[in-house]
Amino acid sequence: MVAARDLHRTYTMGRAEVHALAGVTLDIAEGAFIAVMGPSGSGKSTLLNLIGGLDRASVGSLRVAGQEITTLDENGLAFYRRRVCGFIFQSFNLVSSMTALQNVEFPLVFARVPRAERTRRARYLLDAVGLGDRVGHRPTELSGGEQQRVAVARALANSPRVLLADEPTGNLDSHTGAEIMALLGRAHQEAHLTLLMVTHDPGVAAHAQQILRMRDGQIQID
Amino acid sequence: MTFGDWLRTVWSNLNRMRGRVILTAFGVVIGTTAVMVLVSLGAGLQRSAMGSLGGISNLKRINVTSASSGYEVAMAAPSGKEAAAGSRNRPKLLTEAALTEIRALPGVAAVIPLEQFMGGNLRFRNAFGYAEILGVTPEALAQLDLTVEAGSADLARGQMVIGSQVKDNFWDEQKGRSMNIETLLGEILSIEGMRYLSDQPEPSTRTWRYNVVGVLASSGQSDNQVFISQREVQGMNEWLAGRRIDRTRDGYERVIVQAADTDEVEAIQQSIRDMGFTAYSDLDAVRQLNTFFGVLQAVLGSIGAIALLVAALGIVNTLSMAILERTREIGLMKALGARNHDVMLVFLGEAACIGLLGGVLGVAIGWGISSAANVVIGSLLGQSNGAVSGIFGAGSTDFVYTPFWLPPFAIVFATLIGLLSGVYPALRAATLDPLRALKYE
Ligand SMILES: Nc1ncnc2c1ncn2[C@@H]1O[C@H](COP(=O)(O)OP(=O)(O)OP(=O)(O)O)[C@@H](O)[C@H]1O
Ligand SMILES: [Mg+2]
Repeated sequence: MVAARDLHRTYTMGRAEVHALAGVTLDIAEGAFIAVMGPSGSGKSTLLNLIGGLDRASVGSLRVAGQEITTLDENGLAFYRRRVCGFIFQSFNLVSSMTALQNVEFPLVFARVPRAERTRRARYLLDAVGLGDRVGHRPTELSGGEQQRVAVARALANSPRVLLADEPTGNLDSHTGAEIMALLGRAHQEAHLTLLMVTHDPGVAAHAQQILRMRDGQIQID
Repeated sequence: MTFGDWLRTVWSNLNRMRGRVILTAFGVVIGTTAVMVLVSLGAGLQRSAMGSLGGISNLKRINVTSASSGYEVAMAAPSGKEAAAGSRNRPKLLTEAALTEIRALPGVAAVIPLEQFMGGNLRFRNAFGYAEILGVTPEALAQLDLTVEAGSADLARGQMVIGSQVKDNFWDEQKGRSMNIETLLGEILSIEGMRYLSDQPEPSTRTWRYNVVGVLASSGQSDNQVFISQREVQGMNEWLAGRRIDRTRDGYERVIVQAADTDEVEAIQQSIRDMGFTAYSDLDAVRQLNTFFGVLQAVLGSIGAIALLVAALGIVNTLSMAILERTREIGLMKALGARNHDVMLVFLGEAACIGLLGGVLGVAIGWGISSAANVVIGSLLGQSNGAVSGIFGAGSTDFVYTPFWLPPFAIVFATLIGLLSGVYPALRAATLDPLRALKYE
């Protein structure tokens, strides 16, 4: 599903160069559930962002779902994010002026899904994450755990093939975090999607089928 | 993003920053109102000036005189003077042959010779009247687009058809004021001629009496003219000159050429001047007035447009702030698959919408101010005497006049200003790096 070959991402800060990714080669099978772990600054987020098409590799090749994404132009990347990827962020990133329902519908707006279909799907997903009675609530009227559930529903709205979660439980207590993990585990199974999750919590990582360890911008071989 | 979603997004974004949108749109309102009122004022002045020139049928009229006649000195346009100077040695006469030549010019609908009597005045009872005395052929009135409002147009012997304002121009010598006449229809009007012949020491006078059988509908140019049959006025002129006149050989003093269309007037006029005659039409004056008022309206409009430009800066500022506030949201939109141009269209839409709202409100307020101004000026002029309102031309009650194209133009213009103001912020928003935007605090 994901095939990276000698992937580099270098940030230039003035004269200094930061090698956030320094030659990553990996293959992730379709339907895998992988936890990415490693010390802070080891390049976990950078890897996820590259796979999600939010950032561009400096050098190397990256194929996702059979598509080489390092050479896509802006519109190609937008299309790729719209069709292939789902994102879950540590800080939820819900739009505060929108209701839970509208937040879940949001990605479908850019995919030009008709309104009725959009609402139907968003309701279904909110039901699935256990928020069927909170559709009209705005983010400020929801707890952190509930907000992340809305975010999970939103990430699933466009039926992604790759779900990318960067510390999805990072802002939650362990109990709420476990609930979110249960939800992600279920989504992974039911939707048969490939799930990549960055976490610092070994308990959270234990939900995954496989753990990918990183250090200094490279995959660590155990 | 579909059109409907785009509209909804734009609207809800504007709604979110309602307070600032209203303040920003207020600048556009002021600018649009200024454009509306000032251009309407210019247009109103123009219409009043045009109204005093008379109706459109007059604009098809070309007054042609022989370059040698006295008439030309008073009426000739500048280019007419050149033509006159060129042919001073051997003045060309408006003979029957010349008329045939003019008749053959393309675009000429009718050639109407006028016999003008300049050797006397009109008299009604104790009062002198100062109308132009013209002799025409029976079909001439119709050719001049003149219709009778009362009575008939029959120019039989001893009968006279008069313009609508002739009755208002009689001066009562004994009472020392203008005479108040309801109508002259059915009355007797006299023409009193006075001639000086070189072989007689004293001037001699003569009076012709006419029955007023018709009064013409108001037309502008002919409102202060009286019409008699051509033959009779020629008789008066023969008495005045003390010799026989043969117009086919001596030429007419004045001929009116009626063009089929106003577009043809200029070409016909030029051809006639090339033939060596003097030609003048109201269209010349209208052209000059139009140029003048075009410039006036552009100047007035620009003042309003400057106000709109200031408003545009406000829009740029408001949108730039909106981008700062919504940076994370823009990043999110992109992460969720929005294209750069989706983001751009949303911001452009917001900018255009601020312009549109301000434009619509500005047009409404401008309309209100124009209408109020008309009422106020109207009542002020109503209190004073008619001489003042005469400045604005007969029949026109709107001093501030909004041309039909102005409201849509003002709205489109305001929207366009908004749109242009949105280009820079929208481009900035659209090209934000999604990762940086998502991390933005
Ligand atoms: N936009 C950027 N500009 C410059 N350097 C950056 C940028 N983003 C990341 N880096 C650097 O790249 C390296 C990897 O960052 P990354 O965010 O991938 O680490 P991480 O493994 O996700 O760490 P954490 O666990 O703290 O989230 C870090 O040294 C970081 O300072
Ligand atoms: Mg990270």
